[in-house]
Amino acid sequence: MKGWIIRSTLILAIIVLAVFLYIIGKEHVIFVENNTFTIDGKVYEPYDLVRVTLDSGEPVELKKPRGRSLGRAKVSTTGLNHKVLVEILDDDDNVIESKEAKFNVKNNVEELLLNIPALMHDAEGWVANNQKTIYVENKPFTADGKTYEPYEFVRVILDRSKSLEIRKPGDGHTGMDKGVVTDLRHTLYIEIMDNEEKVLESKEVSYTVGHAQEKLLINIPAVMNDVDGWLTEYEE
Amino acid sequence: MSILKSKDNKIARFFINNAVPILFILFAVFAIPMADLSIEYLVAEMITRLARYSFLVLALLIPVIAGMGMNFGIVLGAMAGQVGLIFVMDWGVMGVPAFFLAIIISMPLAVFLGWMAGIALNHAKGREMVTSYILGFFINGVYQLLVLYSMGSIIPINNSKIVLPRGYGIRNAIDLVNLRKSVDRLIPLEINGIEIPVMTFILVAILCVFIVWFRKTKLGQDMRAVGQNMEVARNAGIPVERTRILAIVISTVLACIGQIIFLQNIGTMNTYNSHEQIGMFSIAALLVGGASVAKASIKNAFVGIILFHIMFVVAPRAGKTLMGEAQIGEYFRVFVSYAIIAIALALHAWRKNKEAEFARRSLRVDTEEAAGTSE
Amino acid sequence: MMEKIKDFLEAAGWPRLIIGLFLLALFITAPFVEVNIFTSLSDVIVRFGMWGILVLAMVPMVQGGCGLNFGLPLGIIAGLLGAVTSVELQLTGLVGFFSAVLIAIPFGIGLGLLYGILLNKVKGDEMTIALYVGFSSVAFMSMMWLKLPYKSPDMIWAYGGTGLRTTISVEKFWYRALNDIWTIQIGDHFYFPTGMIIFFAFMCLLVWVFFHTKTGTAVTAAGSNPEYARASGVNVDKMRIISVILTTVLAAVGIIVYEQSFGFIQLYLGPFWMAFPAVAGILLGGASVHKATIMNVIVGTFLFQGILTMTPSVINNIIQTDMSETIRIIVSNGLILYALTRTITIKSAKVKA
Repeated sequence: MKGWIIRSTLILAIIVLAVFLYIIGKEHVIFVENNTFTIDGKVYEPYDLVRVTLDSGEPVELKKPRGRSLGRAKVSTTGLNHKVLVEILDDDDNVIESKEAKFNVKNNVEELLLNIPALMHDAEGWVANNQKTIYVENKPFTADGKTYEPYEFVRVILDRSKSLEIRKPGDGHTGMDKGVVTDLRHTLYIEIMDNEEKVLESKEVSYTVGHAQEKLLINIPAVMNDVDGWLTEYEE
Repeated sequence: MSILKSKDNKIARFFINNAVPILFILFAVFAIPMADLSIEYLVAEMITRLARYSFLVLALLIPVIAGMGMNFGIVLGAMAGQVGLIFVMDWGVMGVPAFFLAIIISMPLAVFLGWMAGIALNHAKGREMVTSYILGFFINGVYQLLVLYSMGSIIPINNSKIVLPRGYGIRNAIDLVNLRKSVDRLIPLEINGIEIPVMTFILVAILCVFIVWFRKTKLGQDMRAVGQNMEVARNAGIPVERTRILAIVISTVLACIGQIIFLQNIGTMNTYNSHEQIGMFSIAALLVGGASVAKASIKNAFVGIILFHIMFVVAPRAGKTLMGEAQIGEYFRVFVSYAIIAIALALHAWRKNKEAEFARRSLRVDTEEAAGTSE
Repeated sequence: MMEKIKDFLEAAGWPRLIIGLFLLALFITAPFVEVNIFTSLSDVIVRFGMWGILVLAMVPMVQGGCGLNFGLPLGIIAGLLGAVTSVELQLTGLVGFFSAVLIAIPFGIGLGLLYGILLNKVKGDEMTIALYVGFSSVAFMSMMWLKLPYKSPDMIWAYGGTGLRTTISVEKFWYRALNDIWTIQIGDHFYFPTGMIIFFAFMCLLVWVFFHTKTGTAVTAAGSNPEYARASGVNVDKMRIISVILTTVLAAVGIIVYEQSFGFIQLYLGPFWMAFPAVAGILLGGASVHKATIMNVIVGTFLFQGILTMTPSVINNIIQTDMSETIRIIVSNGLILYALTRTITIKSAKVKA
């Protein structure tokens, strides 16, 4: 009996250790960006030159995005609690302004997007999950008193990589599916098909997601009929 | 007269007992100048290889104590370790936590495989080595079934960097970018531009202390008794089968850790090959260090790794200087690895037969003498 | 009736029966998954003929008490020397084949003699040492293939390399020299290599005759009970050497038969793993580490090659994935493992009884 207790305690301790190791060792990629940030009509502009230090890592310098340069850098981190030091620099590398902030990561988040202008202005969403869950629904859509009916069978391709197939609701079909995409700018390719998978109609649209938005909902009939409001925030 | 003879015997015996290391030292003396490599390079290379292989070679010692010979089944442990690494890479865990997490994940698998191997070897007493060798191949097939066909299809693996483009199965080579040298460089130290993997050596030292301590425990003593004579041990109330299984389980688990150390040093995992040669190289190294199937020490392990890997580094270069072709050196390396095992095993078997014969003869003499005195 | 069934089961042994039924099931399933049964049957027979003598080469050593011949590559090397020399001399057809055999035999005898002497020094550990003798001889010969003074442009690298090629085609020389004697071809799919099968049967007969001569029985005696054999005046060590020589020569002949059907001579690390299918074959046929008969060879080779040919093609067609290599590894090593772990338990059970 005693041996049994010791053994199970030991196994439990090892499991706890494993979970702990997983949490402190799990990689979270943080994209640090010095880009324009828009929220509630307010616009925060990027800085000419900033130096960003994440935790105790090597500092990275970001210039204002120009031409093809994206104004962002990829930093790999581990663990849940992080601090970031931002220094705004002038042309002679003197620090004009600096700010330190702390943030937490959820363990299952793979990629984060950290926006410097937003951080400097304490705007909500300065650090956000860079992976967005896109819910796609093939359900009736009503706007201005008009109802757009769902299609029999639709294939949706998110960002030219993730493919979803959605049937009309009913007969055990929910008329809904979801996919995970990363970053802010996305494309959506839709094929309306008959039951033999013959393509009747197709359409491609592009859209942009806000920093702080993590879950979005797209309505297919609305997209196909160019009705405003096809992209909304998803609420469970 | 008899003293002189015994002295002669002693020298002869020393040479016979250490034939293999002496052969290798002679080879090194002959081949190192031929290879035209700098001493710094060789020293750096030996330090890397000591860090890389010590744990694996030391994993062989415990089954030797239990009289089970060279455990080719350490490849089972190596495979378990690789399965652990695959999961850790899939989950995106990094650095030293990833190293320990991989060990924890693969441990149950290593224990299970070791336990199975132990049972199989209990059914093959007297030919443990061939059996453990074939066991390695057999489990390799099962490993392929698991990693090449089930991972990504039955077992969820999502990281597209490690899954084959067809959607299931693990890629041939996995870049252990998150893990590379994480343990080696945990405590950084450089002497004369040579990087010393301090933490790895600390782990090896801990293992050495464990082995020394283990030999003195009740279980260690039991193993020695089983190794000397199974029947006597059984009559003394030692659970022979269980003791032998435990020896293999410990060896497999150590090999599992050893493989993870080995791979974090190399930094790339060849999913379907990294484990295959491990048994052969480790055993060859241990035998080169002067160990035999029945007796192997920590000293043998270290001496062996250095001598064997000097051969390994030097042979292709020496082959090129001597024969004008590096390819010959490559084959020479393979040849020596296998030949050394063959020679060491043959010498041991021959010595064993000789001793048995000698024992028979001296028994006869003893009885004759006894008969003489009683008259 | 029940007694008869029982006797049959006893004689055939459960593993063989299970594997046999499994093979039968594969043949029955084959047409349903669009595997051509005639092509498959033909493949099995050809592979049976190719491997037959290599498996037969296990018998003398087991009978002589030296265990399973994991050192088969040593004999294969003798065969390769014969084959390569025959190609060098530009000999074709049956003349080419038989001259390869004749050249290989002295090499086989020489190597076998040395091998036998070594194995006599290491009684009790023959199998492990044989394994490494096989491996190291393959590696040693790899160096030799680079250096031996063969000149034929059919065998050396055309440019850029030295030494012999890794695979040498025998198409221009003695490809199917044996197979094509009295070949039976039915339809497009079924092909029976009569000559090769007859040659295999002839070799079996030779071995059978040998074990019924005075020397042959002495070899068996030395193997099954060395103490008793020694007491009755048999030179055990000499008999063991004879058995090892015979094994090595058979392996040499076996590989040439294999190559004439396969169409290529594989040098360098080619012979490395060839002992394993042969060992697995004879064990599946019901042989043990201590006893092997010609019947074991025939049954075992057929079953093993049958499984190796049929399992991948049927399973691949069922699950639409090529798993042949993995299946081969699991099946062949599983069988060897089974045999290695089985015999001793039976023996100890008998001792207890």
